[in-house]
Amino acid sequence: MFAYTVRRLGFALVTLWLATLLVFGALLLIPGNPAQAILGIEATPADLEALEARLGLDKPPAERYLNWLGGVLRGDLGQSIRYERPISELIVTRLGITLPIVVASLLLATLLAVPLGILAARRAGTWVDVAVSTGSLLGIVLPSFWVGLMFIYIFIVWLKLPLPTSFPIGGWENPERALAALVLPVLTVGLASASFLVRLVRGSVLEVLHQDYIRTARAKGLSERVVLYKHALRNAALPVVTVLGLEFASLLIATVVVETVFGIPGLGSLSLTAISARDYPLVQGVVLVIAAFIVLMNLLVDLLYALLDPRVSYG
Amino acid sequence: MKRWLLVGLLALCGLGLAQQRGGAITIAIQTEPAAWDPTQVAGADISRVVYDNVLQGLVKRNPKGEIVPSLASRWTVSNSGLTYTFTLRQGVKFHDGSDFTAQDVLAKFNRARNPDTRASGHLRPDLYRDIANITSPNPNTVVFSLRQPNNDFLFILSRPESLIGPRQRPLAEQRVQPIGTGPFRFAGWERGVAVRLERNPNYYVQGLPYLDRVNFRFLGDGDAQLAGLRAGDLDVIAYSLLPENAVVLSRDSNFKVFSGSATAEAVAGFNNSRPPFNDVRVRRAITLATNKDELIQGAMLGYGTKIGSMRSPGEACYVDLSNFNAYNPDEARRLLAEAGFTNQNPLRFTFNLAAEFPYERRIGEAMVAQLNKLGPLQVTIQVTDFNTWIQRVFSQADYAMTIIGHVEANDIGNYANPRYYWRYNSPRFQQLFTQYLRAPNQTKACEALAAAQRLLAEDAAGVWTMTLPALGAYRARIQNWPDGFLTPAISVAEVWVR
Repeated sequence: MFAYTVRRLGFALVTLWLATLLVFGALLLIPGNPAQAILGIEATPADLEALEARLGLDKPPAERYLNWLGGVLRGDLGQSIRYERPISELIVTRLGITLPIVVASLLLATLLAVPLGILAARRAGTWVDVAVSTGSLLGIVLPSFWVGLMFIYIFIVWLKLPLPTSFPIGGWENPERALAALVLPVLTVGLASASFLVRLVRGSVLEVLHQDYIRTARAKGLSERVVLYKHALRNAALPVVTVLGLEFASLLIATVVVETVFGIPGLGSLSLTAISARDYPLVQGVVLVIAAFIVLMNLLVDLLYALLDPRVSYG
Repeated sequence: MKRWLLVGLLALCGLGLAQQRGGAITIAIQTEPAAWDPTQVAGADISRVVYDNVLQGLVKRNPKGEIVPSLASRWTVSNSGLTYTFTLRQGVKFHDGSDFTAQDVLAKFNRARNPDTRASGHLRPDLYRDIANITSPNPNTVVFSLRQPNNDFLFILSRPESLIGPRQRPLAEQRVQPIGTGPFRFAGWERGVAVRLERNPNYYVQGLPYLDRVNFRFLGDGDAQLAGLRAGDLDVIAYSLLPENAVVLSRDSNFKVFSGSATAEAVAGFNNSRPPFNDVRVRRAITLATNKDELIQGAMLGYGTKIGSMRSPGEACYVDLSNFNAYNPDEARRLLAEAGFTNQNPLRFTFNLAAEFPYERRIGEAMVAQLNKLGPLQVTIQVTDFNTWIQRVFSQADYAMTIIGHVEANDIGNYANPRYYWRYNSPRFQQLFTQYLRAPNQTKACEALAAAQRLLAEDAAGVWTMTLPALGAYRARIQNWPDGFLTPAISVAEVWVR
């Protein structure tokens, strides 16, 4: 187990390094440069050169990348070009808003999807099943920015619920307002995620319910509850747990859209700003952090697997 | 008796209009600038927030576009047009408590005209090229001596680049927290969210400002802005309100929609240096194939002002050329045939759009649809992000046609620069523009500028589709919102709330 974990960690680090290399390369390929983004279209070539020198952009790309990598290895993500602030500080501030959204959305999604999915599987083919499937289909096909806007109109403009339409100025200084601002984003992301998860739970439970050992359990005369909760769900949970880990990562990325609609200064909007401003080190930092989350989640899922499924052994 | 009536009426009016002090408002703007000192960083949204609200110059442009006193209470220009003498306002303090003096003015403009931008950190030293020297014969006077007359000199002093901060202030600090002499001090910048301004209690104009606090909130999404305004999280959408949202809000008594003429020309520009647009017949044909009235009605729901050259109504020396080369598809086809393009052998080119600008994008898409209806034209649209647009179109002029809003006032001079992205190289135009700059009096200056506007229209150097509207909305509690948009600022000194 220990050796396996170490090996996995080694892989994770290589993955992260490749991710940074890829992003850096991609940034070199897109036209545009940060100095121009800062100075705008009236800037003269002399203005641009002066700023590029000040930002260290006149150095060759390889040197810039190695400097950045050296910094990261020392635990320093460097300075944002656009904000002239330490990148780690920016990311930590933004994670303080995005992580609660992601975690709460995932929680909401799980709480909705697991019972509904089990219900739909046990009542497969009935109107309950059809209703759940239809609802989840809607949740999957409706674009989240549109759903978010609709929620704003329904809950705030129409029903006059005292929720802010965007993250309040001053942020967490006013915790109630700040939390209230996250309600609709969590609802938007959570429902979209639940729509996806509910199909998976339903399919997974259905599959297990058709297995021989369930038939055996039923033949032994065990009550339906025992069959379901003691035998079926433990096995049905495996694929769901795997996907939950991956879902966490995809929600981190899904917040980009929702943060735009709800005016939330989280990691998603930070990455958008970074890309459109061609703030290379900031893009690198954000990607590194998101990639780290993804790798970490994968690792946790694999370790959880070992706990859930005694057949899986790590030599 | 009559007199008493009059006094009574006046008193009643006074009661209705009693400005209340205090309160806070939140204004939505579309982008978050990289920094807040317009002498170091460019961007329309920087000026919208700090110009005249936080930072001031010797003179300023008021909402009507007139150049009026600011830190200089008056000025004189010598007959030769070579000497400008400014009398400074006395007893003005910067927000950090230090005195504003002639020394700050000298330091500022010596930094501005230093050609070594790396040392000065100041944008656009080219603007200040004509300054031979600056002196201060006594503490409340500053004298600029020019190398040659420059009719734009006062305009240059009214530009955002000419705003004045304390001479001791480190540039890096001024970038993130500008200190000036305006009615509001810069209280804080919450990255990604907003900027906060607070009342400057020592402002030199008695009784101003009315508001205690003004927040500028960065919200790029038009629908999110509208929701915020309706829910009461925002008090003002300052500009770029989508026309369809303006129509909806104007039916609601809780909101006031404002629309005015600004100085942003939506220019569908040609690359004048390359085929096919180095041929004036082709450029003229494109202009004739463009139905500007339909663009204003269709893409902008009637918001927008038709123009026919690189100048907006409301700017000095404006000539109305809005019906010059008016929509005439037959004539357009005839000219294209003359240039060798027919339905069988159409002219194919790409039209570049920048994704971030909702107005220009719509106008561009509608215009391309019009051109494609003509027959001998096959135009494809390419949408990129603004930064890509800047590099490809603006810096490298690697394009055929594009559209973008030119927000700045008085920017016709860009056509005098053959290296500008339109690559328009007309010695005649350059000569007219120089004549304008060096003209001995305003009449002569306007004559030259009028001729310059006509020449551009005859040359069809671009398609000036419309002056984009200054279109926004505010909640009914907002009073005295500025009703002119010919200034770089969203001027809030005299705004108050009920």
